[in-house]
Amino acid sequence: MTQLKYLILVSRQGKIRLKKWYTAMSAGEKAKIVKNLTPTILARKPKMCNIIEYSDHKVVYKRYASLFFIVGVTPDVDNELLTLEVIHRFVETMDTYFGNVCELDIIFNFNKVYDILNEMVMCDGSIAESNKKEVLHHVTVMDTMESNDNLERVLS
Amino acid sequence: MDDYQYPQNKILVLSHDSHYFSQTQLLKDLFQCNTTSATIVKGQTWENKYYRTSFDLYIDSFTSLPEWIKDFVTPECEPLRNVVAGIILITDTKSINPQEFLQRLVGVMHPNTFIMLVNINEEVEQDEIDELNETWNNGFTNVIEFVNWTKSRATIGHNEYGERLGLDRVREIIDTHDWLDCELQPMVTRVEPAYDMPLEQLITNLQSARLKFKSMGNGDEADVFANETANELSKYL
Amino acid sequence: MGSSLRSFIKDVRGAKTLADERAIITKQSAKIRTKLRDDHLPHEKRRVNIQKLLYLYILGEKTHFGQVESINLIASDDFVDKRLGYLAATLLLDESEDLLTLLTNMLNNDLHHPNKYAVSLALTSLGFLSSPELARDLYPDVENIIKNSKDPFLLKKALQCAAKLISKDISLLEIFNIEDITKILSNHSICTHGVLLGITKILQSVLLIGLDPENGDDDDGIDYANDVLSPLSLLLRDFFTRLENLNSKNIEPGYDVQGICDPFLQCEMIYTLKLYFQVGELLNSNHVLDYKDNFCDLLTRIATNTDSTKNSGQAILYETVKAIFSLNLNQPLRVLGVSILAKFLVGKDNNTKYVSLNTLLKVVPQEPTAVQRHRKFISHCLQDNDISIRMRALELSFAILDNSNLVDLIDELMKFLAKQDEDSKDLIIYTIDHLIDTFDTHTVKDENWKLDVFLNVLKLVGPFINYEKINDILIIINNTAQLSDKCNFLRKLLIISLDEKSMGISDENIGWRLVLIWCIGEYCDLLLNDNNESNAKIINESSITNYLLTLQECYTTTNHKIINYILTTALKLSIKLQGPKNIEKLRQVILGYADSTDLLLQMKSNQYEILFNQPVSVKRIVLETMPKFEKVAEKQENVKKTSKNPVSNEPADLLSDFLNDDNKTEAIAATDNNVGPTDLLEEIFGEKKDTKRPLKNGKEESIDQPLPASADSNVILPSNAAKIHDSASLNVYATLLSANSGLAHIELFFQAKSIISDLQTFCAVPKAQKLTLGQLHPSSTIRANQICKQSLKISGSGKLKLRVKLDFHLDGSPSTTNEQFDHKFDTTL
Repeated sequence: MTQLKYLILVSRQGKIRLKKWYTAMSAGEKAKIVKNLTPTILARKPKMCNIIEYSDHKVVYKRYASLFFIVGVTPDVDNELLTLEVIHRFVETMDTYFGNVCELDIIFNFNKVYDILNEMVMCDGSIAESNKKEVLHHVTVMDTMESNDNLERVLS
Repeated sequence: MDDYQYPQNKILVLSHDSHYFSQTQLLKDLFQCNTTSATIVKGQTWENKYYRTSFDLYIDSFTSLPEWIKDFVTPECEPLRNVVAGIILITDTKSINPQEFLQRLVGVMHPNTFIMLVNINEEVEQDEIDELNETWNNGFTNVIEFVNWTKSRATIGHNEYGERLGLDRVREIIDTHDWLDCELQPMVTRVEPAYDMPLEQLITNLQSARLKFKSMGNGDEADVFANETANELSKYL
Repeated sequence: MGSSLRSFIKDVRGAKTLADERAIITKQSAKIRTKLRDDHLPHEKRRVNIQKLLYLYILGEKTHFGQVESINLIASDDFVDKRLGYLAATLLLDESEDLLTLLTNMLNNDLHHPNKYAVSLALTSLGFLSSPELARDLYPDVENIIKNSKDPFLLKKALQCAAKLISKDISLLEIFNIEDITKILSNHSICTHGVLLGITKILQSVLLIGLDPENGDDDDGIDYANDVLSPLSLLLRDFFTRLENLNSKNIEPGYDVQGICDPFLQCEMIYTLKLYFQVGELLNSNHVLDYKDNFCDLLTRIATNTDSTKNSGQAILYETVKAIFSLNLNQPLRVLGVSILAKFLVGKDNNTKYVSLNTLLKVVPQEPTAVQRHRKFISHCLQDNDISIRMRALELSFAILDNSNLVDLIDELMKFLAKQDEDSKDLIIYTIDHLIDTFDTHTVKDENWKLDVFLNVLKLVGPFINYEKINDILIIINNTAQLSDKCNFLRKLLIISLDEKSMGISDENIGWRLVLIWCIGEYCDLLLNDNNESNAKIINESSITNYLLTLQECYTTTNHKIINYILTTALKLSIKLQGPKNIEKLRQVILGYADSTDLLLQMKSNQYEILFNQPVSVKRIVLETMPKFEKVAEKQENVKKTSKNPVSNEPADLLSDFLNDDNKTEAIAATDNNVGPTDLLEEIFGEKKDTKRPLKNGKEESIDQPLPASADSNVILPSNAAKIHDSASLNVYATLLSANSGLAHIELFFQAKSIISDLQTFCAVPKAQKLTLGQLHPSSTIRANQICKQSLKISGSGKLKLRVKLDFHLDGSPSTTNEQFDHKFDTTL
């Protein structure tokens, strides 16, 4: 099953592009995780497995489009193979939304990325929707509502 | 008053004397810049999906890279180094020792400056480039990356991770660069709305806009309003 | 300088040094801060500022000043503001913030908002940010949606959110009504996968409460088994059917992942069902347990029918295997589970290999033979390119090792060692540690083979073996029953070492050298007497003597440990060799250190010189072959010195007495005091710290007393030692020497405030860790202000925590004093 602790997107050069915490942690702990994990994962050789042990939990990561998707998971509860699928789903969904998502899209639309993510993963990192289309549908409806707001404001 | 910050808006394009043609080609392919002699190109525009900006190209060549670096790392060059957004070195990765080049540079470069090494040796395999990146892409604040740019091999498209190769990757590094103290003009981009506005709704909106415009008279305000309305409504057409 | 560079500098002209990135960011956030305070800012600008703030949040900057502003945005009527406001709030706030109370009203309003997307934003945010107070206040509003909404989009979110709220405040269980769930399940049109995911979450929350022993007592009025679990069990049949349908379903676009239908939902359902039966077992509830056979059947079908070639299918199989073993289901299922995992090992994908090895390691105790059957696949992973796979294969290899496969597995391990290099140092050390343990705990009939194993180990990875482990290996050699086996071993070592053409052993291979030097000292007479003609050319008194001389030259400045060994061996050889020339050469070696700047060598040289000149009859007694070191049967309860530690740590005393450690200073010093040879012998091999006999204080002290004061303060407290316990009788200090790759090395120092005798230490570590406790050094008797040291090795994972219990006699009192304390290290394994 799925119970993510956090998701961090890091560029191949170690720049943080997105982060989302699903468990309550102190700012210090969070900073430590980002600081320690990033170089560890960037240093992994391409053929190595995508699961590592870090501190008291496990970390599943995947490299897509110049970014590393780094996910902390709960040991013994989370299914690491399924975590890989969660990451993949997330990437696919962004791919459809942006049309071949790239790092630049994420930098300039990080709030959209959060919107997509929040439709897929809720609460303590549990998966809330497994259907890509369903996720995209609601995100774009909300986008439209925002534009309508803009229009209404101009008109009023 | 804040101290005036000089924008970090120079890209240094560098190559060995013998790589002159490659350099010219790269300037043309990457920047659509057709210079053959200039060393400084001012106000080069750069545009992508999200923003437009401009920077200066500093074009240089050398007979000996170590000599060039020796000059470049001197305190005298510090003001220069501070405004360099990135260095693009066109080179044969087999003939230079990246260690020698990078080790000396990273110590003195501004942490925001990217360093790209564009290999033009046809015999270098992508694997070797990947290996260089593995060695060099960790532990530095600077973005350091090797790319392959050769005619005989596919240096376009994507690798197994869906990552761009060759000049496309150089472009991406420039795109994702953090332009310190530079003007970025946002491009008008939006993601297509999933729901079109029903036609009747659109017409109603147009009518009410017209009424409002009329009531505003002929001032600047009315012009602004008309423009904005047109912009917003055109998204649904 | 080139002209171009000059022209560039000119162009930049007068540029001042730019402040670094951080300064700019700080400035930027300061700007945003002032802007946010401005109440007259139009909405659009506010949004832009909040967006910038979120960008700074991603970069890791301080953003707390934006919290209130994001809450203000939520209150806006514009959807665009609300959406951004909620996003910002969920990122910038966390569950511990006091500001959450400010949210209560807004969330309450939005949960009843006419726009369903406003409702959904509120549900999502409440799911991220729910304190127990928010949970209590807002649960009725969320429940209202679950009861009344017909919109799957809102239902799924409300269910997820309710699951979280229940886990935040378990008293909500009293209000939770299972019929709401039953109603949703019966309405086909609203029961989408998303809604089912929400239902699994709410069931998981409820079941986890039942699983927590702290909630077992029904003092708050809930009888979990009857009031909760029993009605919950009514859903089991429905769940079975749904899961089965899902698993056998053909491709359904939208839910398809590599030909598997919604692996996410399938895994959640398997996990939920697993929880059902865990709680059922715990509370012994027949309502649930009556379905156990059905569950087993279903898992069998899933295990057999799911496509195991794709990651998505493997994820489901993995979840199934986890369920099988955590419920310890029937044996055929367990065997099926093991064979699924074994299949994972065959593929190319390292992730499945990783989870398989990890899981197999956990299930070895439940199904040892089934796991052993797949030994070949496991051994195959020892050769994997990925070090993390190799590490796990290694752990698993030792876990399945028993008498039946010992020879084959060790064979594989030798092949493994042959391919390792500097990068896998940790793996090498792990292997050596466990090989030594293996031979300590398993009786091997063919001791010749056993010694060959160590010959190989020394040859392959000798440079990586530390001194302590060398001592362990020497013990194993020493304890080999047949002299002929030991002779054989020494012969092989010598042939390889003396053969000039052999390039096999490098000077860095200290391990090999130490073992060889020690064996020469112990067994070379046997070998020389028993030498057959063919080897006599290579192995003879002169070649051995010259070899020792070469080694002495080679290491004289670089490695005093080896020189120590050489001196002792030279002394021993004085009674084992015949040729006076060779003996004289060896005497010269010893004499050569009479003025050494290394005090230990100097002392040793002088004392050995005295011994050297003793009559052979005296020397023979002193230098007799080492006795066999008795091993004491291992006791799980008592990890102390009576357990396996005598085996691994006795050498530190026994051997060091004779060979290297400071202790021999005592031993030899005794000769100066005209102690007879028998006493000396007792002192050298003596029971000093011998394991089986508790020390008699009188004797210990009578030997210790004549010693100069400096000689007995062997143990010095390192400057970085932290005090972890302080009582009227003693101080305890600790140093963490190393902690990596799941192995920590700690040293404890006990400093007595008055005389402490018969100190016994008992240590405990968390369940996920294994502790090996070293012996007290130098002695279990500590005089006032003296220090005694003990080393601890902890392997496993998790926070480093110790519980230490101490038993001792104070000031010679016959009654035992007890002390106990806990210590947490900052380090996590």
